[in-house]
Amino acid sequence: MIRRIASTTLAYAILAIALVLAVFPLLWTISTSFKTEIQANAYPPVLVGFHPTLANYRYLFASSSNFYQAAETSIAVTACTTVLAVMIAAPNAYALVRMRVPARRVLVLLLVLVETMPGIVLVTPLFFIVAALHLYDTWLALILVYTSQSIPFATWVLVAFIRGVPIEVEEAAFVDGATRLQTFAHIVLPLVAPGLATVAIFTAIGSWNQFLVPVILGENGAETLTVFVTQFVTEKTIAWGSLSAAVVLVMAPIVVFVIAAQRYLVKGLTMGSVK
Amino acid sequence: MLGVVALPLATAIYLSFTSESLASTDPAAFVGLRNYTTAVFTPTFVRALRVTLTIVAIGLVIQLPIGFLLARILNRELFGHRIVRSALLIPMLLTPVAVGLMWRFMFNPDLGLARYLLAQVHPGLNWLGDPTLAMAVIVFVDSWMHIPFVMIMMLAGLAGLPGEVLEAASIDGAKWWRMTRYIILPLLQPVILVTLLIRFIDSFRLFDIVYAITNGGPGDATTNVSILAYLQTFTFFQIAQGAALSVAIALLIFPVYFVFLRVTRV
Repeated sequence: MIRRIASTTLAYAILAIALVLAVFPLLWTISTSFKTEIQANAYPPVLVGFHPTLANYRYLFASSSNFYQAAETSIAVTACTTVLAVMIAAPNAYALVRMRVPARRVLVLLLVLVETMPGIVLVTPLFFIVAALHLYDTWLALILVYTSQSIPFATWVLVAFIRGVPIEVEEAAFVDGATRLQTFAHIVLPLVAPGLATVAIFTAIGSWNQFLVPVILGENGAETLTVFVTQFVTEKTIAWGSLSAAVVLVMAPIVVFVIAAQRYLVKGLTMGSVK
Repeated sequence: MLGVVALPLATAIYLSFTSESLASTDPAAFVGLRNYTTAVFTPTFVRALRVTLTIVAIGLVIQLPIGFLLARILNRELFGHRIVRSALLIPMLLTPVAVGLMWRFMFNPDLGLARYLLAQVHPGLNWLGDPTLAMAVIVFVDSWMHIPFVMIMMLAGLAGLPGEVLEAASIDGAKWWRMTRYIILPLLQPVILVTLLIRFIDSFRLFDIVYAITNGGPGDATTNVSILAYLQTFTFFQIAQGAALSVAIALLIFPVYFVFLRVTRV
């Protein structure tokens, strides 16, 4: 009995520590984003109990900063990528599961290659390809690269979902005279709707978080929020207040997303790798 | 697909044999293996490789056991386990570069919170100025983000274990450690393998966090292969040498593809 209580107490203690470690840095950053530069530098630092100011956010929202532009780029590119990736990955996954695709093994190998290859290996040459196509610093370049980088994982997750659709359902549709395409669009897709949602969420988060690609392929015309936040760090000084405010604004959509969609997230993360 | 893998790879291989450089206006010429001798087979690259593998190894040693332990605890479904699970989901999905900046702030020796906390133990420690400590910070932040990932994977694995086996074992009065060692770990082996592989690949190519926190410094103490290739190409404009580095990195990680293919089976 005593052992049981002891072990439960220990378990709670560990969970509490984990919880604090996970959440505290975020709270700290939020707190800093409401401090003046002087308050941010105060020693010893305080989490609450200072006079909050909106100056940092006002600075970001001021027309002189590129915040709006960067936000617009991030949102547009993320939205387009998500739609495209789902539209391509769904038929892709269906074909891999249900049809005899020529050179299937090569296709699978390519998917795994994109998935595992360090970003820098592909992005460096992509810089030259994109420049040669006159797409440097455009939304289109980012959308194309993000989409192709999202497809492997999206396909993967959808393969697992489509495998879960009983083949009898499809056969019944065929017997009723439905074509392959009709079966896919009207029977399979609705059945794997949770899978599509999972894929869309992961693609959106992944595109939003992209940094290496936009820092190399974009400048002013296609500056994303992730690139925008790094600009507060210069050789000489770091504007901590504005930086924290920008970091908060970059992270906020993700936090909201994670809390709203965690059911899909857990499923997507473990799908295909854990059976 | 060809456009995003094959073409860039071919371009990288082509560039790596030329003298392409934005630092000079001379037309690019074919130079054979010169870039490989001047960029890849060098002490700098070996050091970067050592940094990379250190981050990977220490990261795995820290993340796997802690992630597993947290999963075991959450699997007991104690009161409030859902809240903890949701909170722990957040770090791994946050924007890496923003996470890096956030921790850079926390560890900043002039104004950060870490300074305050550490001043109680060891005043005057400069986390990001000391080579060893800077590495520790990188591994710490990588772990902060990815222990939750390990945890979620293990949790899914635990949920898939046959309940009867565990029940029978606990009725037998098997001790926690014995049960873990002889029953759970062997049963979880496939999940552990996949998790290990994914984490290996991700920390091998770690870029955003390092870029945001140290940008490879102090000196080249935290310059891993990704950062090295980036700096070579886009800071020093030695395009061809950067390409050679890219090709070398791709070749180095090649064996991992096959392991990945075998373990996952699409």
